[in-house]
Amino acid sequence: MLKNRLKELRARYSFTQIELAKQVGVTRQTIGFIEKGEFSPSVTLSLKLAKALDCDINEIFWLEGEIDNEE
Amino acid sequence: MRNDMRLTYPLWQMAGILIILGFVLLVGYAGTVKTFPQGGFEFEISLSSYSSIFILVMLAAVFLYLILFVFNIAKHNKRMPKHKITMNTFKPQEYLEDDELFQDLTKQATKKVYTYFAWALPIMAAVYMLLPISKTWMIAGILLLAAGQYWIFYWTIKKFMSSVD
Repeated sequence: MLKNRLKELRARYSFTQIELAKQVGVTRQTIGFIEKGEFSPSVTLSLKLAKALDCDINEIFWLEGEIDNEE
Repeated sequence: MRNDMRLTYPLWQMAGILIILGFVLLVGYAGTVKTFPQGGFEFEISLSSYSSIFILVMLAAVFLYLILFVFNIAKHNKRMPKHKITMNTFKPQEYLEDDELFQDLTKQATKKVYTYFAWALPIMAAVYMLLPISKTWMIAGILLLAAGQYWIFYWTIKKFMSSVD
């Protein structure tokens, strides 16, 4: 399962869901569903989100268990 | 998206089907078709007082339906110029393709409809073959089957939208 810290990173830039959605060209609902972990975005959208939040894609998304295994 | 007519479009389709169903039953019970061996046919409709009232009610329903339908489409198109409902396309109007989340949702709903038809059509064909069903009720069954697909589509989208905060 794909995990994310989109909400946390979005808060870092004080973006609202609507603002971030506009930046990456999707609806507010899509951002909300990604944050809740109920929707896995495409690679294209993930890259757009990483660019908008000025971070690496791995900082936003990771596979469940991956971080635990690394630790 | 609450005022988006694309969400309620399947319900309009269902209402249209129910009106057609009313006419099918009317023709089925009040009409007679004679076919001639030399070719051609004659269609006769005999209206009793009940069926006369029924036909008037049905005509009023068609009139009201068309007025409300056109009015709501105009209102929707004015409110959402980027997502207009237009008859110039073969694509069903209820498809939501605003972004990848909604494309995915539409895919889920159409998959459910596909599954529904994959089961319902053979079952209906078997029932029609095995039971002595009149032509009127066969058509009525097909119309109800079509209404069912819109209900499945509508319900899937509605369930999703109610989870959107």
